[in-house]
This record gives sequence, structure tokens and C-alpha cells, in this order.
Amino acid sequence: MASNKKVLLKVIILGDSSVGKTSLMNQYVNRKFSNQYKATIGADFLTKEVTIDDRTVTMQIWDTAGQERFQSLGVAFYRGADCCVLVFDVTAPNTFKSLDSWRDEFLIQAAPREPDNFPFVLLGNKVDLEPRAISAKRAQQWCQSKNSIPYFETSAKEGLNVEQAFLAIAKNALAQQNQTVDLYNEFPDQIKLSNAQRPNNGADACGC
Amino acid sequence: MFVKPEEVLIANAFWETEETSIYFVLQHRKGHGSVKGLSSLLVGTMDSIFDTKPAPYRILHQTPNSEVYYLIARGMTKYEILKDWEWLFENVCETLHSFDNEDDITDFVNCKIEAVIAVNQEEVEDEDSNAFKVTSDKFQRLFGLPKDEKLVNYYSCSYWKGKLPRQGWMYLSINYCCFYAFILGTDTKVCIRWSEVTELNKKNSMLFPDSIRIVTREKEYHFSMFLTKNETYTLMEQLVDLAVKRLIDDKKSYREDKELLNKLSKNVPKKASFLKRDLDARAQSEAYRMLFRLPSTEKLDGSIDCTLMTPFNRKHVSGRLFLSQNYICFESKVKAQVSVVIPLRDVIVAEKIETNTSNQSLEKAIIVTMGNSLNRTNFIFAQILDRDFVVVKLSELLARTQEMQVFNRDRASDPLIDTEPVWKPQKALMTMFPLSPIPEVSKRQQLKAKEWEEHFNTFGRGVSMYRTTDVAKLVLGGIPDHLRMEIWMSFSGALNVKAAHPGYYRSLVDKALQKQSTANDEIERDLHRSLPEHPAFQSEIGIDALRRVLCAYALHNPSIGYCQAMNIVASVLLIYCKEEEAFWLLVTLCENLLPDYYNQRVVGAVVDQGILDELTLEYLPNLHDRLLQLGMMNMISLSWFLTIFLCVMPYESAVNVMDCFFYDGAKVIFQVALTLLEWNQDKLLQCKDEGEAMQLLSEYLMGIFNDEGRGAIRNKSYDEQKRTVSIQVLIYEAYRRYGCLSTGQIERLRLKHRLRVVQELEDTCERNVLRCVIGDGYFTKPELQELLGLVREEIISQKKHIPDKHDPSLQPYEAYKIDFDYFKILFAALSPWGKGETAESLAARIFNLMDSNRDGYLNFRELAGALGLTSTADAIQRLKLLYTIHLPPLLCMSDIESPEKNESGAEIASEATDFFSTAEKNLEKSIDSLNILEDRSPGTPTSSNCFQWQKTLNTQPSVDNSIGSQVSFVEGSSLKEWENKSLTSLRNLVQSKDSKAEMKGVPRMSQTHFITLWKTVYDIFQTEPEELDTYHAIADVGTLLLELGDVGKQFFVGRDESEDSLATAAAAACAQSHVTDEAETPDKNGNPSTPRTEIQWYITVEQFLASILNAQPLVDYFSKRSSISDNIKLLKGRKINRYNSIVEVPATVKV
Ligand SMILES: Nc1nc2c(ncn2[C@@H]2O[C@H](COP(=O)(O)OP(=O)(O)O)[C@@H](O)[C@H]2O)c(=O)[nH]1
Ligand SMILES: [Mg+2]
Repeated sequence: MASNKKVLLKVIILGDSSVGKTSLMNQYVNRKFSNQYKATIGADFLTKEVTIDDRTVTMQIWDTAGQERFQSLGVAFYRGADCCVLVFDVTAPNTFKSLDSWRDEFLIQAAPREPDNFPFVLLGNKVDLEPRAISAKRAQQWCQSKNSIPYFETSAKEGLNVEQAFLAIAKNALAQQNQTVDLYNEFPDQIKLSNAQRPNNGADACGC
Repeated sequence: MFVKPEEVLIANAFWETEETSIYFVLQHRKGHGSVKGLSSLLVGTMDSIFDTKPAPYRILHQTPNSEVYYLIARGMTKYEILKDWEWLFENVCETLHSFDNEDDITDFVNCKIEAVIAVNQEEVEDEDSNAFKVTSDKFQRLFGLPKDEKLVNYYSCSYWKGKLPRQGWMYLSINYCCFYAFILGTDTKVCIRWSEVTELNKKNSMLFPDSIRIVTREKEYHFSMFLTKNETYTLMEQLVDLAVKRLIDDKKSYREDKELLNKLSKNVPKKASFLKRDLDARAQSEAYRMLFRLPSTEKLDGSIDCTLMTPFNRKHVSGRLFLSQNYICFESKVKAQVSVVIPLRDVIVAEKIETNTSNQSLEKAIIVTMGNSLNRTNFIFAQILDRDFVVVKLSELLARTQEMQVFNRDRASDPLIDTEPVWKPQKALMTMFPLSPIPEVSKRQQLKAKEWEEHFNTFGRGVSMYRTTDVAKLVLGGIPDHLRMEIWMSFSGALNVKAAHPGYYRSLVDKALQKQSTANDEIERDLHRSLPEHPAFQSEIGIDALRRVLCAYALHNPSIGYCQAMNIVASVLLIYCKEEEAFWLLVTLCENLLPDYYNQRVVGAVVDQGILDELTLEYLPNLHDRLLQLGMMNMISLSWFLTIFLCVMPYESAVNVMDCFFYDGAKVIFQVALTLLEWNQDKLLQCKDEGEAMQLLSEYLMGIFNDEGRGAIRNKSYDEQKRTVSIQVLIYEAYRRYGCLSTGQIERLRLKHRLRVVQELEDTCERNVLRCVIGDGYFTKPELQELLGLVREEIISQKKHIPDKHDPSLQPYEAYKIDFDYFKILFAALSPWGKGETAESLAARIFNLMDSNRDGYLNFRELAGALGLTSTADAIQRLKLLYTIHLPPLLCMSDIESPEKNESGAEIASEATDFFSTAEKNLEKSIDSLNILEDRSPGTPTSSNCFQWQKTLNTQPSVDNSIGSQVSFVEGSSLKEWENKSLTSLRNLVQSKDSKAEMKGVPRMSQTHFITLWKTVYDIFQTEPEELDTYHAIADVGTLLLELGDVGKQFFVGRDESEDSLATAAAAACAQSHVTDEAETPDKNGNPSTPRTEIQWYITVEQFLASILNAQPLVDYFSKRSSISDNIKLLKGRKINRYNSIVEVPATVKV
């Protein structure tokens, strides 16, 4: 029975340096916000058990270094991801602008079977801070343009919306995994060819 | 040192005479030496003001009855000048007495001196031998290479063409590896560019026995039957490494180093070519610097066999003495027995020891007396065959060093800097934030400190300590906290760099903190994420120091700037070291020990990751397979390498690795990494996925403990966690198991992997470029690939600055750009419009149109656009382009006016001039109207043309911003702005695929311009096979358009100005002003402009398109997709030798 098998969901968190990726992950897994940690070098991950629809799944959340020069290096573990979480800082417009390139890079490196339907979730972090530079509406517009990505506004510091966001992430990841498995069962071999066509997202697509 | 005799008028006032003889005077400069009277102070100051720094001693020659003095020798030290003085007496004076004529005496002296100089400088300037030159020329001719592509060396060998070897010659030059054979009437040519090589190795297989293999992206080559295979291979390695380093960082490109060559040419046996010797000298210097950890500017002067007296065991160790500008070094013949690095700055004097017949071992000895506060030992080198030469050389070097020191001291104590410093360099943070002492630990540290004290007493202290295995053992055991800075600084060589740059850190910090930069922003974000567990970094004191060090570094080396991980390394350095020392250690680490680690693509770390992968395969083959499956190598090694384990182990443990690292170099990281993997091998083999494996390793690493650390950091989590192994055991085992890895081996491996990594990066870059450009739809991927190949080739061969491919603020294609000269060649070869007489002029205008940032280059995307629009775009787009490039500002009146070609004579010309002078006069007005339009456009989305504008603003902020700011204050540049703006809108027009709507805004075309346009059309067709249909069509359409233009005249006056487009506005502004403003101002050509009364002839773009689209033959022609692939092949085959052709500038375009 499939539901008894231990399920492992692999989630990747991407976004510019210091948007709060590590803090979000810590807040979610350890329920604390601390200042006692080093900048992420290379890659790191935490795991957490979650229950979704009576199923217990293990979420493996991968955190990465956000500095531009590491962008193409963390790619080894993108493969096999079930969901990709994009994070930006609502007070820093540049971190919002980079979202496209993070998404593109992920799609290229992870090469998911159906890039158009691969689950992403967008988090606008640090909503506890003022002044905001990116409005919820603008973020939502971006999500809309990318095939309706779910959007959450979070604060890792206050623990705001973090739980909900990760629950949604887990659900999406699980759905993706099930779908992949189904597909795989239906078409054993042929499907592997289909990642050739990928949407061409120029950098100018941002609707601002 | 004798110098070419030179007349000096008077033995002037700045000099004081020390000794005289009949014919010679020895003088020293006032202000030099111990006398410090007023006048001597003055001279000293003058010297430093003029920065002339003349040698302080000199010898003049004079005959008693002559007014003229000749300067014949200079000296930096008294010692040196006295030697010359003595030489004169021994070799010259005797003879002088035999002359009766004073002039003869002077002649003789001058002759003698010149002869001495000639001997000393023997053949320093010599050029390549004649035979070599001939070969070099032949090489350039054979392979069609430019004159400056100099041959380095050539070797006889054979090239395996298929299964047959061909005997011939291999030619190695700075940029190419070539082979030529001529057998039985056929010649075989191979020409490989070093920068295209992806692999180079020696191979011995059945098929290709004992051969050298070169791999490029396209092909594999095998060469064998070398006479001197190793020499050849070493040279090839060197050359390919130069090429690769240039790909990483353009600044590292090869430059001949004459100075270096002069240094070594005396000792090095004659080699075939100047360049070969240069490269050899370079390699020797590099090896020398590596061996003794010297600054990268240090160049080897020479080396000689000798013995070193080692007082600690009363022996004479035989080895080799090395001399360079700032150091004397010694290394024993027996590896690791003893070595010495003596900075000349610490040396007081170096002199001969007079031979003591009773002691053979002190024959031909030199004693070097030290004046360093830490190390007062003297060094005695003996058995130096060429002792006299060495002593002279040493005194020369010493004199220069001492002078530099005085100079630096003067500079460092510049009174201007003494104004109230805003910051003070921090002491080592551990002294400010002492951790609560644990008695047991303190005792151990004290014990250790004592061991070190004893070691210092026997072996000396500081950089010039006798380095033996004893000190290695001490280092492996861990250095006591309070000695870390000193030992790190001495062994890493950081002390040497610091000594060479007094005051540099302070001035860097002062500048860096003022600066706004992305690096500084990135640093700011990471300051609190560096070593938060240490109390020093919970306080502003530590944070401020860290900020200063990192910002200073970012300014010091902008090609690295700031890379995450440097913050962690720097904060640990700051714990143990004073601030400035921490900075110099960081410099040494980033630039010497871990080269290219932190640069824009972290190349160095990826290279070392590849090495670890290879070493794992060699030593732990089973594990290697598993790690490969898990994709682990990338994940673990980055954090291990980039932070030298500081972020994966408790830092107090990792700092012991750092001890070894500064002593022994990067090899330690590999030793430790391999040991860690080996110990966890079994468990890793069991892991199901990469997550589990990561977890396993990270827990293991965090459990590595150090019972000799101060340990207050051992907060709860540290003790609770499973203690796995002590750092001392780990390091000991790392040396026991993998001590066989040598620095030399690592360097060789780095060379190999660098080649691979850099080529992979290049591939990624090009893939990204293609990804961005393919969306424009002009060409297929293979076509673009081939085109990009051409551009890459061109960029590399230009030897100009290569723009940084990894600059994150640029689009990938912006790094690949070409100038007009090359565009012209490509246009002629690849575009169907490139064949006719007007081709060059067309090329120039298309170039101007496409060059959106107006920097005189087309980036790859623009290039693909320019070529695509003329060869693959649909008919309407091509026609729009054709129309556009015959409009101002692309086609200016001055271009059309060219007298020799304009058959229709003066009439058209003057008419045209009139039109344009009015246009120019009113530019300002038109700009105003442009601005209005611009303001209005966001609000009126109904007009598609406005939308066009808006899009431009968004996609090209840099261009538009700069224009915007210019408008406000520079009136004179308004012509430029108008040009820029209209170019932008024209470009958008041409590139947009949907047609009708935005065409309303396109300026109309005057008759003159139209005539030119039509000539172009004829010209383009002329290159096509003659077809009567087509010619008829051209003639018909041309006539029709001319008639249409006449009709237009009648409507011009009543034209409605409110038409919402930029160009109409401009045109309207012209029209308007020509009513209001009738003043006679000369136009830019100096012709008085005549007010116009006549009404304009014009056609519109719609008319133009519609007429042509009605003529099927023309439509067919403009819809034909021409293949650039074939043309590219042709172009490649036909070696374009643009180096020898005179290239015209596009400034004057003739029609
Ligand atoms: N005010 C506020 N600060 C946050 C929040 N999340 C993270 N930070 C701070 O932002 C900085 C960077 O966070 P970090 O998680 O290391 O970012 P990462 O580089 O994306 O992993 C740290 O100083 C955090 O304390 C948040 O929700 N609110
Ligand atoms: Mg992080």
C-alpha cells in the first residue's frame, strides 16, 4: 500500500542572500528565530515530519547560499525536488527582481518533467518590517503570470504565516510526487523526452 | 657598479668628497650617512621631494688639467663603491701612469669602463637567433597568423592522422599549438588555439604509443615521437595554463617580462627563443615563490650551490642558495632537512668571511648579519664557488632594500595622516574578549608555549627561523593562541607582503568605508552571520573590525570583491590576530593559498572540488562511486574548502587545521578531507540518500573537539553533542595517511582541473547566451552556435580586454561583443545585403541602428538581430529595416552629398542641405516635443506607438536614464539625444513583428533619401542572378513611389499636427519653425541656409511597403531565408587576415 510507505518530500528554498531563507526554515522546523547562526555556505538542510490528510510525510528542506556567485553551484541537489520555494524580502526590491532568474535557473538545473506545472511557492518575507517596497498586489501579479503560483506573506521573526506556508508547500510537493508517480506508471519510458520545450521567459517579463 | 662614463660639469655642491687620487674622486651625497648637519638634512629632503633617489656614492674621473669630470661608477653602499675604487687601483691606475697625454688617459679610462660594463651585461639584450627568426616567420606564414603571434619553440614530432603517423614539426606559440608536415606532395596542417583546449595529457596506448594528447570540443589530437617529450609537454602545459588563466581573469594575460629575463639570462643556458627563456624564467620564479611562500612580485635572480651552517646541530648542510630582490633563501638537498627564508629588510650586512685555513668547511663563506629584533642569529653560507659575484649581488640588493625602507618610512609617516584618525586598528579580539579560563586548558597552553619558547631559542624566531621538521611537529600539535598570529604571519608569507606595503591598509580602509558598493552592502548583511557564537561578534567592536577588513579587501581586489565565506574566515583571523595582520593573512589566503577561490564564479573552489573527486577515486574507489551517485561531492566540498572547515567544525577545532594550512598550504585541506571520508566510509556506503549522508557528515564534523581550546565556546550544544574525534588525532592521522600528497602534486592537479572547469564555465556561458538570443527567432540554435563560435574566436584573437563573462549585472550575451571592423566582415560574408557596392555603408548604418548603448560595439544579441533582419526576418521586417536605414539620423545629408557619386548634381544636394539645416536648427524644439510625448505616453495606452516607447523605457533603463539626465543640463548635446531617441524608436519599429499600427509614427522620407534608398535596392539586386522580372519590378515600383511622393506635396501644408507620434512631432516641429524662425544661421557644414518656400516631396513607410509588397518578385526576394551556416563555413575556410589589411573607419560613409 502506497500510503504506508514512508514518503520523503524534497523541498528547495531559493532566493537572494539574506532574504531570510535560513530563518524561515529554522522558524518552521525549530520554532525559533535566532541570531546565532552563520551565513549558509554551500548547502544545508533540515527535516520535519508533517501530517497531510492523515499521511505522515518527512519534509527535507534544503537551504542554499544566496550570493549570486553560488547560484550555479548548488545545482547538484536540485534534482529530484518535489517543490521549490522562492523567497524575497518585501522591503528589498532587488530581491523581488531576481525571482525570475532563480526560477529559470531552477527549471534548467532540476529539469523537471513538466516545467510548466512544477510546483513553486512564493514567500514574501519580513512583513514585520517597514517600509515595504513590494506590495502584495505586485507579488500576486507576478505569481499570476507564472501559472498561478501560491503566494504567502511571512515573517520568520514573528513566526507569522510560516506554518501555513510550509503546509501549502508540503501539499504541493506531495501532489507533485503523486502525479509524477502516476505518470510514471502510465507511461513507463516515453515520457522522458518531454522536457525539451520549456517556456521562454525573458528577463523583461516582470509586470512592473 | 660601473656606469657608462658621462660628463659632469662640476663636482657639485650636493656631494662631499671622501677620497681622492690623481685621476679619481670618490664622493658621497650630502645627507647620506651619519652626518646630520643642516645642509645634509636639506639634501635629504630635496631628494625625497624630487623622488630622484640618486645612488648615494659615486666615483668621478678627472685629469689634473681638465675641467671636465666623468662619472664612471655609482654605488648604493659604501661597501660597493669601495670595491669599484679598489678595482680601479688594481686594474687601471698602474697603466695610467704610462700615458703622457691626458686625453689618452681619459680615453683609456672610458674605454676600460665601457668594456667592463659590456662584459657584465653580456648579451642581455640579445634577440632571437637568426635561424629561429626564419622559422618564426615561416610559422606565421604557414598558418596565416599575425606578426605578433610569436613562436615560442618548435619540436620535431609526428602527428597521428587517423592511424598513420606523419613526421613533421610542432610549433608552439603563445596562443596556438600548430603542426605542419609535408610528405609526398601533400601537406598536413593542424592549428589548435590553446584557449580551445579542454584536455591535455600524456598517453601511452597501443594505438598511440608514448604520445601527447590534446582534446578540444571538436576533436582529439595525438602527437608522438618527440625527442624531448617532457620538455615539450611542460611547455605545452605552461602555455595552456596561461590561456586558461586568461579566460578566468583577463589581467593575468601574458606579457613579456624583460626584467625577469635579464635576471636569469646570465645563469640559464641559451635556449632557442626569447619567449621560451622568458617562460622558463617565469616557471622558475613561480616555483621559487611557492617553495618559500614569497609575495607574487618576487622574481628569482639566480641560485647557487652552497652549504649552510646549522648551529642547532653544528653541521654544514649542503643545499642551494636563492637570491631575489628582497630575499635570500636556502633549501637543503635532502628534502625537508632545513630551509631558511631571510628577508633582506632584516639584514644589516652580508660579507665575506676571510678564509681560515684550519676550517675547511668555512671555505668561501659569507656571513649574513641580522638586525631583526626577533632573530639576531647570523647565517653562514659556505662553499660558494662564485662567492665574489654573490657578495656583489647581495650588497646591491641590500643597498636597494635599505633605501626602499627609508623611502617607505618617509611615506608612512606622512604628517597629513596624523589628523585625528576616525578609527584605530583593533587588537586581537581574544585579548579584548578573554574567554573564561579553564584551568586544565590554560595549563596545557602554558606547556605548549614553553615548548615553542625552547624551539625559538634553538632555531631562531620569525620568518628567518631555521625551518626543520621540528617546527612542523610543533605546528601539527596546534599553535598556542598567543603565538598564532606570529607563526601564521611568518609561515604563510603574509608578513612579507605586509612589510612591503606600509600604510596601505589604513588608506584602504579610509577609502573603502567612504564607498558605496554592492560589495559593501553584501558585507553589511553578513557581518552578524560570521561567528555569532563568539562574544566579540556580539559586540560592535568585533563587527566594526570585521567590516573594515572585508571592505578593505573588497577595494583591494575588486575582481573578488566580497564572497560569502570570507566573512567567516576573516572573523576567525580577527580573533587571533591584530586587525592589519588579519587583513594581510586574508590577502595571502585569497591570492596565494587558495587562488581564484572567491572570485565571481568561485572557480578555484570548483577546481579543488574536482581534485578531491579525483583523489577520492584514487584512494577510496568504492566510496567514490557512492558519492558520485549521491551527487555529494559538490555539496560537501564547497563548505569545507571555502571556509577551511571553519563553518562545519567548531571553530576552535578547525583553527588547528588553519595552523597547518598556513604552514603547509592547501594540501592540508585535501589530507583532512580524505581522512574524514575514509573514517566515515562504511557509514556513507550505507546511506540511502544524499540527505542522510549530509547529516551523517555534518554531525560527525560538529563533534570534532579540541581539549586545548579555550573552550568557553563550548556551550551546551557543544558538550551535548556526541564527541567524535579530537582535532589533534584527526590532523595527525591526516598527515600519517595522506602526508604523501605534495604541494607540487596539488598544483599539477589544479592545472589539469582548471582547464576542465574553465571550459565548462565557458560552455555554460555560451548556453546561456544562446538561451537568451534564440527567443528573438532570427536563427536556429546550430546557426547561432556557429555564429557565436566566430565571435568567440574574434574576441580571443583581438587580445583586447575581454569583458567579464560573469558580471552578474550584465546579460550573458553582453560579454560577447564585436566592433565595427569585424561586423563589416561578418556582414559582407553572411548577409545577402553584404555583397554590393553599398554594402559597407549599409553595414555602418545597420551597426549604428543596432548598437543600442552606443558604445561602438554590437553585443551578440544585437549582432544576431542585425544579421537576422537582413537574412531571415519576414519581408515586412526587412523592408522596414531598409526604409529605416535610409532615414536620418542614420543616413545623413553629408553622406549623400559626396560629390563624386551624385549624378543628379547640385540640385538635390542643395535641396537636401536645406531640409537638413532647418531640421537641425530646430532640434531643440523637436526635443521638447519629444519630451511631451514621453510624458504623455504612459497615460495613453491606446496608442501602440506610445506603448512601444514605454517598453523601451523599461527594458533599457540605463540608456534612458542617461539621456534623461543629459537633457536637463547639456544643451549642446541635444543633437546626440535626439539621435539616440529616434534611433531607439526606429530600432523598436524594425524589431517589432506586428506591423501596421505603429507605422504611423515613422518619419516620412525625403526625395533625396528615397533616391539613395532606391539605389541601394538596385545594388542589392545586382548581386543576384539577373532576372528580367525583378528588374522590371524594381523600375516600376521606383517610378510609382516617385509619383506618390509628388502627390504627397499637396497635402503637406494641411497636415494635422496632433498626430500622436514621436516622429510626426519632430517633423511638425521642423515645419512649424520654418515658418516662424527664418533667421539665416549657417548649418553645421558652414553653408548658409536658405529659407524654404517650396513644399516637400515625401513618401511614407506605408506607401513604401504597400508598393513593394505588390510586386511579387520583390516580395519573393525579401522573403527568401538565406542560410548563414554555409556562409560561415566559407568564411572559416577563407582565413580572414584582418591584421594585415588596413581597416577603414565607418566615420565617412559613401553612397
Ligand atoms: N525583521 C525580520 N528580519 C528577518 C526575518 N527573517 C530573517 N531576518 C533577518 O534577515 C537576516 C538574514 O536572514 P537569513 O535567514 O540568514 O537569510 P538567508 O541568507 O536568506 O538565509 C538575518 O539578520 C535575519 O535575522 C523576518 O521575518 N523579519
Ligand atoms: Mg542562509
